[in-house]
Amino acid sequence: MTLESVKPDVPRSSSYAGEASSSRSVDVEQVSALPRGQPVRTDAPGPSRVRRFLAKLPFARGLQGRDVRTEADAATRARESTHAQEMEKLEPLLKTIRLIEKTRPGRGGAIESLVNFDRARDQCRFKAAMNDEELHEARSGLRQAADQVIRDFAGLQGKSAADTRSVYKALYKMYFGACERALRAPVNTIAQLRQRRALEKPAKDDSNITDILRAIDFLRDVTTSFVQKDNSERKLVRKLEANFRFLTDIKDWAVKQPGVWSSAPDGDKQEAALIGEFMNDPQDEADSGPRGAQFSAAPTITWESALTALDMELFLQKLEAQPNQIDEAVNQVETRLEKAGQIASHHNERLQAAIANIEHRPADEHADLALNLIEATPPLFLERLGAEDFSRLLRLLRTDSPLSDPAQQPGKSGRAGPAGGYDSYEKAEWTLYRATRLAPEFVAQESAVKRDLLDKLGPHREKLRLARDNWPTLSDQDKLDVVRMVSAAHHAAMNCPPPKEIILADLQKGITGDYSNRRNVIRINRKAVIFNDFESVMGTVLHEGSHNRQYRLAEHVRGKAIPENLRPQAELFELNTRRYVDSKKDEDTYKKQPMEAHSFRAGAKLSRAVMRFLSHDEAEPGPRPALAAAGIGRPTPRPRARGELT
Amino acid sequence: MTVPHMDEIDELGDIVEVAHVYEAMDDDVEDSDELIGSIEIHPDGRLAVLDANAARKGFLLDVIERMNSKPAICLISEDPGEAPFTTRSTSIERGEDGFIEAELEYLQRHYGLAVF
Repeated sequence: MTLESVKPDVPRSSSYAGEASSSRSVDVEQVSALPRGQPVRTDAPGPSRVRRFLAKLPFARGLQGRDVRTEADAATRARESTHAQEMEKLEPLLKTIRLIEKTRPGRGGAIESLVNFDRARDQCRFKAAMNDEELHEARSGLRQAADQVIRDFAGLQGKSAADTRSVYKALYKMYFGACERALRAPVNTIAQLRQRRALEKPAKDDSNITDILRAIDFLRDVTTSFVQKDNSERKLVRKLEANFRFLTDIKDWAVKQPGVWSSAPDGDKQEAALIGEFMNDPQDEADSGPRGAQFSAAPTITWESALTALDMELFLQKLEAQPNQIDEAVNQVETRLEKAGQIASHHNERLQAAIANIEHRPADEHADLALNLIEATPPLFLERLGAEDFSRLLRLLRTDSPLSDPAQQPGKSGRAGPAGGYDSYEKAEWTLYRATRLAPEFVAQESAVKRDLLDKLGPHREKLRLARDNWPTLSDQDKLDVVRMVSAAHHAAMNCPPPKEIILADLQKGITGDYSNRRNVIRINRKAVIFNDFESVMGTVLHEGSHNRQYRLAEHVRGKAIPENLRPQAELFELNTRRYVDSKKDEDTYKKQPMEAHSFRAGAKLSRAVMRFLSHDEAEPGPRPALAAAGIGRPTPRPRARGELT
Repeated sequence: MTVPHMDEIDELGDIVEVAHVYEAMDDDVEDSDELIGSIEIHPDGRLAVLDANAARKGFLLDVIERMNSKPAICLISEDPGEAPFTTRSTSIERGEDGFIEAELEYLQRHYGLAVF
């Protein structure tokens, strides 16, 4: 029964309001007469007093025999509920304490903290008289008390860990899995940076409990603080990390160079000198010697010296001593990064000049000179080469070298040239492959591809959403139709001829799909575990479609008909097609060679864009059109002839 | 002294983690991650949105609903395939070890959501 049927019992005359105001019992009787279990329309027409009274009732059901709650009651109940939810979040921590209580009943310093913990827990019992702030404080107090118990417990570690291993395991289970993720979380403050660096260095004691406590602190901090992007400390941390990575990369390379690095007692000085050499422009060096050496002798720490010495700790110490100087530190790091960029550019110019010099040498020297150049250049600087220079260097390396001679392939008799046999050249080629980056013009075009793809999928959005939501139940043919639709939009967006066929195939279970250039066919494995996963199938078809584009670009290079802005990347793809690194040979190189690096990147990126495009505004209420109305899902799948799809 | 039995430790399996969700707003822009909400991660891999910013709430709720409906997580493997231009995949059933890690990797790969 709805209110419509109650209406006759509720007088509508305006005079009723006056009567009602004189007698509350009339209201209650009127309302109590409402049948149980029926919804009440609080916006029903009628005397305003009655409407207000009705509005106070959450439900009409069960009214008889219950107290009528006031607004204050409802507010208290809401606060109690919120408090209970907040307490629920503390439950993992409280469980740990209960475990500690069982493990170490009243041991040493933990006694007092356990008593305090009990008090704090009592404080957290909800009382209507407590306001929100007091409740919040009580919860904070409980958290702190629990932390203290854990700390005291940790203080008892180290002598006999056997009986506390369980608690350790519990702590580990709760926090450490998350900690691994937290270590990857972007840090925003100097304090967080310090905490993370401390976490990265494992504690020396056996129990590792110190690590866990650090992890707890770090996790709480990093996941509860939000720092605006324009905050200068946040900017400093990001830049500092970039600077540190840059220097570390150089150091990592230098360590592997024979004769450059030494483990002698003065190795630190050598390190500083080496880094100084890389980080200073020649003019500075001429003026004052390597900055690293300068640092070694310097009595005080300066921003410059700390950065130059590759010592983040020094830098953080400096910052800690002068916390007001964050802006200055930001400037220093920016200057340093700018200088690093200039130095890298300087090295690039030298590298480009070296490539040009080799090109002017007799052809039979090209391969060996290119090999020497690649081996002598830090990958960090190779990475900064443009696609065009990569192609030049690759061609030089292959000119009249074992790489271009089938007889020199592994298993054949290798030529013992001045720089070694086939393996040396191949290794240098892989070094180049791993260092390649997509050409900026090509990346810009990829962004346009993403936009075009979404534009082209726009009219099919509802259909795709339905396909996504019902994917496991769709027939193979329906899935194939959707895959073909997405692939067609993808190829149109890439301005690339689509493959001759996109088919379903019965491949090995672990294989998701593949692309055959020879047959110009994309195959999706219907036996693959991912075949029932919409997102993964989309990722696969976009990945394989990217391979098709690479081949078409490579063909254009050979035919000389290609937009100039795409030529450098296309040439690199073309060189890669000639010597594609088999996945079994070297996994790292396989993933990073130009063609695979591009496909993995493009497939994932486009797939993410499509998924977000489909999910946007998904929360809008309303019925979804039937599958059939959108052209998806046939009531009875069409019988398929054997082998038809393959 | 009472040493808890391992069964008691296993009871801790019902711990619910709380984590923050960052979304990469632009794949082409470094440092474009923005905090869009927080979720609960249940031991069986179920996820629940605790809160989210208004603009991305619909998206996050939708994604989480989809994730919870998956009986298994499929990951495109970057491990080498046997032939050129072959992609491989792996699948982890809900309840198997490593499911949550796979789930979070899936969120990152397919939705650009990083969970910390």
